[in-house]
Amino acid sequence: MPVTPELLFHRHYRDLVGALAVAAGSRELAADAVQDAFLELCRRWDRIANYDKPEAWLMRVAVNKLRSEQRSLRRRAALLLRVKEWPEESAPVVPLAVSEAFRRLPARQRLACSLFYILDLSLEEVAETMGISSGAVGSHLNRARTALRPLLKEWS
Amino acid sequence: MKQDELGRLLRQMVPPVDETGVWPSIQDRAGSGPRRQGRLLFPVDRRRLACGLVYVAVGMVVIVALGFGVNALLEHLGKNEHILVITDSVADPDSALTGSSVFQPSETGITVSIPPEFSQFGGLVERLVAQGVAVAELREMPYAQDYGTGVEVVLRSQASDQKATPEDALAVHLVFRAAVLEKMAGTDIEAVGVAFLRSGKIEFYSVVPIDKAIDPSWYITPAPGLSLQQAAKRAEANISARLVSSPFRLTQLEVTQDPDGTRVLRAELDVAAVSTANQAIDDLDTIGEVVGALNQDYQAKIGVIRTEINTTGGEPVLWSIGDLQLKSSTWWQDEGITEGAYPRPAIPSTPDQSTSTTVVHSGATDWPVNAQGQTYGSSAEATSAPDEPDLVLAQATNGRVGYVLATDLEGPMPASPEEALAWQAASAGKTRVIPVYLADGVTIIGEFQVGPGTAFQIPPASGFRFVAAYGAQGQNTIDTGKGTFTKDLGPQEDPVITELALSPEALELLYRELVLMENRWGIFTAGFDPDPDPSNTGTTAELTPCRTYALQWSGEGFDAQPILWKDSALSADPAAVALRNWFDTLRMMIEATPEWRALPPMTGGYQ
Repeated sequence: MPVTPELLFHRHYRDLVGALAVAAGSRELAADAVQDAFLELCRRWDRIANYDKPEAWLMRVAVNKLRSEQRSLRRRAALLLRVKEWPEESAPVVPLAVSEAFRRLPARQRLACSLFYILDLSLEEVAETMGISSGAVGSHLNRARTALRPLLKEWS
Repeated sequence: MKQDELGRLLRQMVPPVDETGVWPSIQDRAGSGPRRQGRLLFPVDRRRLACGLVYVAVGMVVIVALGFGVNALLEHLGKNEHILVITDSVADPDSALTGSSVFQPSETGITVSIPPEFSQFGGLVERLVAQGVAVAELREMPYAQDYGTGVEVVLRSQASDQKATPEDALAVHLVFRAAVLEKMAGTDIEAVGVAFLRSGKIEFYSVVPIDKAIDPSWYITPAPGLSLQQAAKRAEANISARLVSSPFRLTQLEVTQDPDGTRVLRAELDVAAVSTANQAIDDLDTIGEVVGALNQDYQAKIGVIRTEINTTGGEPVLWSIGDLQLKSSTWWQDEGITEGAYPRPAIPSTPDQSTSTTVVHSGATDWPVNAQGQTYGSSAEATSAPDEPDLVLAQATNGRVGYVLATDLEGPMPASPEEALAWQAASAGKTRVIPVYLADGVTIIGEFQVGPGTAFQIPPASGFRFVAAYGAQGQNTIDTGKGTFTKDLGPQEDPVITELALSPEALELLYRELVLMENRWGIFTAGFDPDPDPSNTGTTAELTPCRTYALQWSGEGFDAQPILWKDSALSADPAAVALRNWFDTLRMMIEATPEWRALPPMTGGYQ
């Protein structure tokens, strides 16, 4: 089956929004960023269709859109508070102390964790998506694990 | 799928995502046409030569420039660096700032196409466009092999020739500053290039290494000791009075807050002619001196001073940005300025174009009105000095909170400069006492002192005590009167109580913040009911479980109205943010004590 923007959408939209929502602490921000990335994908499909991995391009653009969105004026106040706005019935079952601790990690560590664990990307793929080296990704992941280790033991 | 604990945890944090209707919406938007505009691909030569010349020029200026006012202040701080001056005799006031005055924020209608390879610099463009800087496009930065990761920002100048305009000079600084803020926000950027699009050609200007950062103390507590309007009023009064016998006249001054939280003082002055300005250039030192005093004595936290000096005919004379946060200064001067810090050969000034400045106020606030027809409220909420209410929220010397007449605060309005000087001399060092009213503007409940160092002082913290509760269900409680702290150990455990006392310094800080909150928003007298969506974005959050805060406090002669606040809407209302920050500070203070550390850990969470 030929790869089309619509096929990519149905394959990746939910996962990508979910992963970036965890990283950003906001599903709305994540959805905006991913939708904008798909919009760019559609507009440039003539060129991107020739890429080996259009989904890699998509992820990178979504991550950049998210960063840009996070800095925008309209979102600033909400971002500073690291909003979580999903409703009660679907609230994460993770204890508050653990999710709070995760949300207090630096943005890059959260993003690296989300891409690595939730989207199940390799170190190299995370590096490509974030525009940093694999070593830096490993460093972000290690620091996140170290920071969360005491709470994780308690939780498990 | 990675199976370690962190992986399992994160996958459980993923929220449900509904994609219904999303794809058709994207298709609709994509079908509305591409936004990309044609890229400009002018070959640029002589870059290396231009770069070298710029750095030679900057180096020379650093040596000779003593500056006017702003630079004097920077020098006073002992940290003056990165001074850039551009001088030119031909000016087009309508250039790099897209047809609006420097006071015109945002809403410029500028659209910039960002190629995907530069999408990580979208935030940089966003910051610049929000300040009205006309960004034409982003391009690959020259000399990246020397400077590292970066991008070249092409600015659109409307100069009719190839010479720099005042707006161009200031725009260069804004690019540098925006890049610093982007780097601090996590963007991988080590340098930024600047080029200008003039008369259809792109000219390389410079590459600036991003090797500075803003000290975090500019952004953290204690909050500024003056509201924006209070800072503007004091600056305006002091600068005007000190310039009363000078040929320079202050025509406009305001203090605004940039999106990153930096306070910017913008002053516009005029002078009869360039030659007149040249003779009295040192008078301008007063601007930096006044700001320095406001920052030092009142914690006004003004981080950037932006000054426009034009002739009364509208010709630009001297425009500058003094960046106290980055310890750098950038300015443009007419070549007729040769005195003081500007030892240049005098060349007759020729610009004949005029400009007018449009002052934009962001609209009047809807103040409540009492039976006397007087508006009343906190001056902190006024968007500009003319927008201030008739009755301004204030705390009386007896601790009671009420309102003072704005006209009483200002004192008599002088009819002439001579009268202003006489009044200033007569009142120097003296304190005026004015009545504090209830909101009815009639009932007097106390006195307010106006004078040097008294008007906005915080009363002493003696007698300050409070009971505060916070946490998922507000179950962590500190009582400074009893000297106890109750820790919540989770839904399955009973809370534990311990003796715990905060240091006098910690109490002083907490008290000061509460008084500032009361002075700004009256939340401990008028009540606390934060708007869940103060920016009218149409999106509010609902957090479950959420934090609950309770607070009851009293100070010398003042009993605050108790507050019980369930923070489920995560309001971004300034008062809500301030109160939330106060609790965060309190929590950090508590958790730093040995008594708290000795307590058992929490053994569960709330869902």
